[in-house]
Amino acid sequence: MIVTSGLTKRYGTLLVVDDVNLDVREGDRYGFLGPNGSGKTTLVRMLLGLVYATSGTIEVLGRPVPRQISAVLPQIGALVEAPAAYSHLSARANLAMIDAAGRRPPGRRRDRRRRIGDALDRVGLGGINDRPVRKYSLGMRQRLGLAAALLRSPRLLILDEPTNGLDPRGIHEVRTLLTELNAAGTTVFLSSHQLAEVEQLCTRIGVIDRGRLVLQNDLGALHGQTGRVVVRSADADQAAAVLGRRVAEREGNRLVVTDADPAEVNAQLTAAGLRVTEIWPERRSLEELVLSVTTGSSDRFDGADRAARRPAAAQTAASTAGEPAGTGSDAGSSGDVTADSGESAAGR
Amino acid sequence: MIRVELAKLVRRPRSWVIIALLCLLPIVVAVFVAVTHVAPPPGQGPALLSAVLSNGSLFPAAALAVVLPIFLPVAVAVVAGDAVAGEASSGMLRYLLARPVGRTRLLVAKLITLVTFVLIAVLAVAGTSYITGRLLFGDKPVAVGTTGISTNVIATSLSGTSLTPADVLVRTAGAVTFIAVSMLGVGAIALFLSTLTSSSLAAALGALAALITSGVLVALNSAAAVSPYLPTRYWLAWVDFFRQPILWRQLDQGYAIQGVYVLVFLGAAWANFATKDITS
Amino acid sequence: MRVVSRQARRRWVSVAAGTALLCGLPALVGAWPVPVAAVSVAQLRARILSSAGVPYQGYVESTVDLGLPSLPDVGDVTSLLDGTTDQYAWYLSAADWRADVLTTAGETDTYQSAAYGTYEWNYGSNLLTQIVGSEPVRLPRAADLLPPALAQRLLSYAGTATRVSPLPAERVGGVDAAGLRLTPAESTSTISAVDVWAVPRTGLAVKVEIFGRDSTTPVLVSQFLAVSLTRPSAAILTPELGGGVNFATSTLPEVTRILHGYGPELPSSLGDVARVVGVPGLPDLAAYGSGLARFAVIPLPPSTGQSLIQAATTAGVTVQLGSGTGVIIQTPLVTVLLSQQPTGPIYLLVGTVTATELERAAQWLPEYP
Repeated sequence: MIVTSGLTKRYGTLLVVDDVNLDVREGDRYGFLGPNGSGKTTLVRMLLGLVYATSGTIEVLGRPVPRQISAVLPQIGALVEAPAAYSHLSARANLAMIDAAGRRPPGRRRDRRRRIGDALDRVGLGGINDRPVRKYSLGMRQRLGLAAALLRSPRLLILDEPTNGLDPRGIHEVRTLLTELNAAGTTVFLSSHQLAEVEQLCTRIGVIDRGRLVLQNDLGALHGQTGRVVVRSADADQAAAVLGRRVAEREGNRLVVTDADPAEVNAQLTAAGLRVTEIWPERRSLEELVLSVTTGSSDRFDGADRAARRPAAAQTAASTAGEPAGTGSDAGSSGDVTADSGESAAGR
Repeated sequence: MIRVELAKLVRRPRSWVIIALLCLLPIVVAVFVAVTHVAPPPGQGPALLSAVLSNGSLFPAAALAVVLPIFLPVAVAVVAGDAVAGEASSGMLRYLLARPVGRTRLLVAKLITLVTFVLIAVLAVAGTSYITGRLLFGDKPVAVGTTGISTNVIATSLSGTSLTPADVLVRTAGAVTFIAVSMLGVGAIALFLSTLTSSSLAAALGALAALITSGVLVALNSAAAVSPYLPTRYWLAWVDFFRQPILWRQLDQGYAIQGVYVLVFLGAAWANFATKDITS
Repeated sequence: MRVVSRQARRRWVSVAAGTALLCGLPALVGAWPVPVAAVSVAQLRARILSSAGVPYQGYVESTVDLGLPSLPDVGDVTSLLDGTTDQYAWYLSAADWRADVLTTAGETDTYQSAAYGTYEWNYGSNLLTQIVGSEPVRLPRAADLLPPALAQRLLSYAGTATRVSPLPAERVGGVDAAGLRLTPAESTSTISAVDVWAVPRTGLAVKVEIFGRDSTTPVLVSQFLAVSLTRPSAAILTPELGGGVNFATSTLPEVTRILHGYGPELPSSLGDVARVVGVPGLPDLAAYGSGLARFAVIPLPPSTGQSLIQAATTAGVTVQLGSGTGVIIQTPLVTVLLSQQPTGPIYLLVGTVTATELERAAQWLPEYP
């Protein structure tokens, strides 16, 4: 659906997007993660033909962008940064205006009213009255923006921070909506700086940091088990003794066991008559992974020289971010994942 | 797209506020002139204003003379300056372009909308001032020479000849068209600036700065060499419609120079906008 | 560099080329070679001199830059001789023409009609004036600046003694015109050259430039911006009293009334400067000189004379003239001398001669008998 190669955008001397090779497949719910100012929005704008690349190529829906942008865009629904609307018009009038603008497939004017109704229903604005958008809350505007994106039943949805300004319930509704749409065949490309949102919705993620794509893989593969087991026991001392050298780490009554199967560890501990409060296979958290490959917010300025900080940053992030376990190996394995996938940005 | 832009123009309250203000100024002038019965002497002040005391049918033309120097260009600069920059600052520009609306198409639609706005504004001024003129100054025929009253003569041309109602109508229509066209140059400049910046105000002020510069240079003797190329040079030539015979030379040149300005600045707007990064 | 840079460059180049073409169009048209007219200078001069019957209509712009101070009681003459005058003229013959002086919000029209007589329309005063009777003397008016009239007058003044040389052809107001230059033989003239361009076939002058003695740019340029060599319709040439217009009749030209009768009869020569024009019935008015070096002598009514002297003193130079005094205003083209003798009228001497020449001539002005 979206393939970029060597995509680079430079504003003067400032490198905003650096050699990005994006690969979004049909049917994906692709989460495009990155801290603020990492180049997410610029990349999204390039996909939509709003901003032109300095070099590199983009292919969306199999067609080159920006050369055949006019053939591509009718099949895309987009929400770029904040939603926008003519504030003196009502929601329906806004959607009618947007729908009437630009080239459209023939015969779509007749069912405009129905399509607007459908789109509003889907985003939960079905009962909206004719008050002007000026009086809407941020959440309502966000929903209206989504409705505009859905207006033409697009094959590809490109959404930049779609849950901004929504309450938890709204976020949940949007997530459900996007999952439904995806199930019906719409590819969803969602850019966000919120890990949790991406983790709950997406099947595949790409992580951008300071303009570079540092990670791109299926979430399932990234989310894999580490092969370690975490045990919480009231009899932690004895348990540690029973498990012996396999205990990699201990923190209060919480033990991390290497090279183990939870059932087997559980059996061993219960056989020894020890109480097991909780036991689960350790999973790599997305947060760790992301923090390990990114270098920190670009809206933060700590005084240290950025260039000097850069090579060390990955390690620093890894060693401080690893919550319970030996994160050094995590950082290593995430690096492996990236390398294995063979899709992540080069030049790590 | 043109239909959408026109709908936007019509449904926007601001358009009507601007037009209402434009119509209001001549009415205020008319009321003062009617109450005091003191009009500027012929040949001074706004053109033709002196003639309306005897018959109101020339007031539409006089009203245009009142709004032409400042109010009309300001209104046009504001609307044209907002054309692209306004969409950019409200964020709608990116959604329109992602619709997709071709960038060139958008510009052309904006220009056509601008032309429509100017026409509506000028016609509104002419229409309201016609009614104002009839109500405040009457429409009784004026006395003709020694032969007494002829019902068919309602005004005098700048050359001292009689004008029949049909004459006045045709000439006023000509003047209205010419004034509308005269506004296109400033409109095109503002439209071009509007593609450069995302601030409507900056675009409008830029266009007005260009106009003021042009006005200063037109009045400057030592700049006579460039004055035929300035956008405001032939603005006042609409008066030539009220001479007998109508002098077409300056009118033709006025049309031509506005055409050149529209071509050049629309071209520049197109060249700039079509490959511009939309980052707003 | 961007993926669209080439496209952007191509667009800008095409816009720049289009703009250059549009802006260069007038220059291009101007640079288009004008065919050389198959007419000799002498022929052209003869045709211009006999072009009084050639009809035309056109838009004339006259620019005069004399730097003359504003003088009281001389009407619009000073504004005519300083600045730009726009006129539209319709001309059938010397007896049938109309010239409108156009201002941004009004006009002043002069009608000369064989059938109806002379009329003046002034939009500013909303007044149509019929001028009854002939005018032996009048102040310069805008119609005198129309290139055909001006060229005819200058060529007839210059006479056949003045050297005439050819000038390259030019396109003026849309017509191809052949050019000639008059170089005055008189060392006393302030005019160094007069350039005239005229339609070769009919001799209709379309552009006149006058150069002062010390100037490289013309002091006076009068030319058609657009000219049509067609006969104007009779309707345009007929004065009409429109609705609501005031009407007046002026029987005696004002200028004559003001000027006549204040001085003694003028001699047939002032020193070695001979009288070239006398005014029938007005022996106290005359023009002296020769060729393009000539001046008028006008005795002024005392009040007018005093106010003129006062206005001129600030701008001019005061000189001693025998037992009296004089004030000289020197412009690049026209010299003005106001002479005041203890026993004579105040004389106004004005013409295209040097100040020295005027001073010399003023010594010979007659006093009251």
